[in-house]
Amino acid sequence: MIVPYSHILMFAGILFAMGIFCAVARRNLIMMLIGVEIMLNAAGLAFVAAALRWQQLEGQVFVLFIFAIAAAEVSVGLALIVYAYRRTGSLDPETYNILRW
Amino acid sequence: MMNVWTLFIPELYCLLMAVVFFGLAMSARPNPRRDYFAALFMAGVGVVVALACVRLEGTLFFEAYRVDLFSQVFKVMLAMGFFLVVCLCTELNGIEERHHPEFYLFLTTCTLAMMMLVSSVELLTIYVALELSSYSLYILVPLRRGHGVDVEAGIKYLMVGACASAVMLFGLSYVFGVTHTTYLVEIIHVLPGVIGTPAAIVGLLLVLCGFFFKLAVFPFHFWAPDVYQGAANQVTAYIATASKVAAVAIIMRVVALSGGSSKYLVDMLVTLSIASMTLGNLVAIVQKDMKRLLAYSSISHAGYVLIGILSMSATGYASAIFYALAYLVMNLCCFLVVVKVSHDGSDLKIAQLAGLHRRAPLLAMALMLAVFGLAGIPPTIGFTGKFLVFAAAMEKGYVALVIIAMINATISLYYYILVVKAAYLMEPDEELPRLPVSIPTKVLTVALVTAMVVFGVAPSYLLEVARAAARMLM
Amino acid sequence: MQPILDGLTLSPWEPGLFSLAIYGLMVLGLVSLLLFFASWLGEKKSNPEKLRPYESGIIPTGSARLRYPVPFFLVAIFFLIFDVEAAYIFSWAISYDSLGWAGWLQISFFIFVLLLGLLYIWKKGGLEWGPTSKQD
Repeated sequence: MIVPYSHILMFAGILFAMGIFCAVARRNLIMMLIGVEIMLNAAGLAFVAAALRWQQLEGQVFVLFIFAIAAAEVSVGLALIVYAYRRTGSLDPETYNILRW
Repeated sequence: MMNVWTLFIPELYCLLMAVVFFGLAMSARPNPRRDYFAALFMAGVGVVVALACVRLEGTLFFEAYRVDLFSQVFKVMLAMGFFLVVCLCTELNGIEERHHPEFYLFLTTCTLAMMMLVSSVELLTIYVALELSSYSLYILVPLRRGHGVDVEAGIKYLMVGACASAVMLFGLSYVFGVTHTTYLVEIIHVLPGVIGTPAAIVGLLLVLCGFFFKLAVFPFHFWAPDVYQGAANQVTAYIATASKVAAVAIIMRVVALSGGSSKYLVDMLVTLSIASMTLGNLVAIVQKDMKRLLAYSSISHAGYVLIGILSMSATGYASAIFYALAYLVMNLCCFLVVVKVSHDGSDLKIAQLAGLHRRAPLLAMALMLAVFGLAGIPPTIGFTGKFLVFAAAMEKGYVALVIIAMINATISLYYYILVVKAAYLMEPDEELPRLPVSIPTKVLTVALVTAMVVFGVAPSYLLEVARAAARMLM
Repeated sequence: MQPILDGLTLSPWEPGLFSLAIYGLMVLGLVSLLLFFASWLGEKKSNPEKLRPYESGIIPTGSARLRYPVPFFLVAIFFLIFDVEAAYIFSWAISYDSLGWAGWLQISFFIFVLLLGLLYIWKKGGLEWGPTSKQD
């Protein structure tokens, strides 16, 4: 393992923070979904690093499952977003504020 | 080989149900009556199956899946919750008729996923089960017919849920990185040794975040009111009951991992519990919509359940299990009234309850008992649950926490009484006709009310079961 | 391989970091210098002709934003799901001999579930394409 585990964790942490920022700050539903995907990828990176650190394959298997689950998530999300877009004509989360308090 | 698969019967039965609903969904013309009776029958059998399997013990799938009393007790609760929610679907007006089979299909897959969730003792299994249940709910929420709020609720639920699950996954990666195993049995040995390290505690807290989202604990609560209001009444009933029960189960499993030796974790749970209770109760006071009120009340109840869990003792876990069951029954009773009163599938304002005691005396009585139960007034199961939870916390010396919780219970009494006042003392502006209450509904209402009162007065049997189940965790 | 301990020990990787940092700084400096010169020396007169989007010399008509028909999204979604599930089939395929019949049964079940999904899409009209497809 050439790159130390702690560096990868830091990198994953930065990637994760970027994902959170993208998911929280962007004003477009599709961009928010992409932010969540980045967060998932950061977690996957940390898993692979841990798998390499302990020489155990569970981490890799986890990543394989994350792929599929992320795909399912994007599918459900995209379907919902298309549905919402056809109903309201907007992808801006600001328009979804009928429900409050 | 056969022996192994018998352990898996409740889940296999759920899978079978899902296949049947899938077949019904493929049929060309919608037939709500057929769908309803199929669902009712199969869900009823599901409860029997889950009860029959309650004594099974063993492990499956390379030890990733443990069947023990703890998991089986929760499976019975989930099957009961599913059955009771299906019972509420006689007039499923909130959802288009051609989508009824899909509605039952996703309820079933969600129940299946939650049954798997309470049994899994391996991180990957937990994650997959949790996601399966979440995705079923993401689809169920915007299935509602009509007026735009469903899309908004669905999007909010999806976005918050996806973020929470990503956070949880990141936490899982830290836990795996620290403990180099994904099996809870091994983690429970390794983790207390390294719980002092930042990576371990951060990982565990992040993992808990994902489950707190399911339970709607304070920082992850903001989906609850919108989703409760935006989803169809029956879907809300399901989210408010069965999904909460599964979340309680898995939070207990994960918190038990720390071995009770982490002060940070306890402090954090205490803070979250107090914040949830206080926020839920204070905001609930100003609500006008019944489902929103129940949403905020569920946030505060998540706080009470956490008190039991954070005691991290056998009595604490037992009290949390009991509380979860009590909450399931009381909340379902509330939703029974909500569904029956707004039988056209619209949202129910609290003011619309006016004159309920004359329109449907039985429903009004059930509502009063359920609401008093949620507030924690004696002859009901809710009082017993709160009492047990507080007693467990007192045993551990969390006096301040219990006092705050009691103050909160008093605050909550105010808005619960507003609901009862609307049903009993207020008169509607114009005279409304009597609500037609069918015989099966009456039977169901009486059964729920009886359960609430009988187990509130004589909880010893249930408590024994809860204690035995909690011992499995330690 | 040994698990690498956490801590502040210098890894064999760290000396290379310095040259990477120098290189990065140089790249950053060069790019910002070029951008600065371009904006400083460049002509800044604008007219509608210049601001118009360039489309290979053809004058653009209409808005560049058009609503994609929903089937595009649907096909994208279906592709995403069925494509990614292939990862499991590949991972089974590379070790099918050691997994034996149990593995074969499991992957068959998996593919069967996928087929059910496909059947559902088909039946509900998700695969219909073209101008005559069902409306909303």
